[in-house]
Amino acid sequence: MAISRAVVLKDATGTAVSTCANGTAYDLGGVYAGQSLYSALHILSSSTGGLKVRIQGSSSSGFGSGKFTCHVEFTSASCRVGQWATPLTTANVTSTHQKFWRANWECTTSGESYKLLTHMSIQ
Amino acid sequence: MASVIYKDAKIFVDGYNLSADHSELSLNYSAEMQDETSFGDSTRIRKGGLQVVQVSGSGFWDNASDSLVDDCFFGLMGTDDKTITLFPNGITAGASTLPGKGYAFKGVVSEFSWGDSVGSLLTFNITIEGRGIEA
Repeated sequence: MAISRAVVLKDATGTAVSTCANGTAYDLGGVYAGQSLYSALHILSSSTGGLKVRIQGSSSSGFGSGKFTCHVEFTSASCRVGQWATPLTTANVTSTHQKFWRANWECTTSGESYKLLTHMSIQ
Repeated sequence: MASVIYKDAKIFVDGYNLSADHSELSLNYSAEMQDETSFGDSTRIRKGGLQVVQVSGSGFWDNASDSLVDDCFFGLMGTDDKTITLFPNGITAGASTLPGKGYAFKGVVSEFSWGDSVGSLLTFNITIEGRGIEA
């Protein structure tokens, strides 16, 4: 595969994030046999503390406590960087019921601000 | 047909949002065609080969001390596996269809040039080559 279609989970390219939070949940479908989940992250501006971004999946849009899985955790970044996560398959995402996806981001120090863009695709 | 005036393309190269620096941007996604025509065939037989991704772009030179273009393309020249994401017509979070979705790949900056004739606005040109997304 040479290229992926990028479905944006969090677009903070204009307004920076400054607190730990979860993004909106999107129904993008499960990972089925023969498919891979590709994901990437751009940290476009940063603070000294560092930002950790995760991609989480759940079988319900509510992402209730204990009812979601963190499938991708990008390396904490405190400078401009791009990261491409290792593609996941059904060996990693074992339930096709997990069709809802969201981004989660964690600022090391509250009040710091980061511009970012993270996306995924299942293909 | 939902035609579009091309005015809101986005390009992200690793940690840089270079959208506002570009005035031209093209994505070329292709497959190398191999010729497996044999004697006795009445037509040329093509076989799809390796996929190729290439991005070319250009824009006006930013002469500021904190120019992203110079910082990005000079700094990343020839470095493998940079994260490249492009959007043809803006970004819509959660959009799995057009408009709003993008295209992403791992790439390497293969060309960065600038120059023009006297009296004109100084421009730059870039080329990024894809390296696949599997590993």
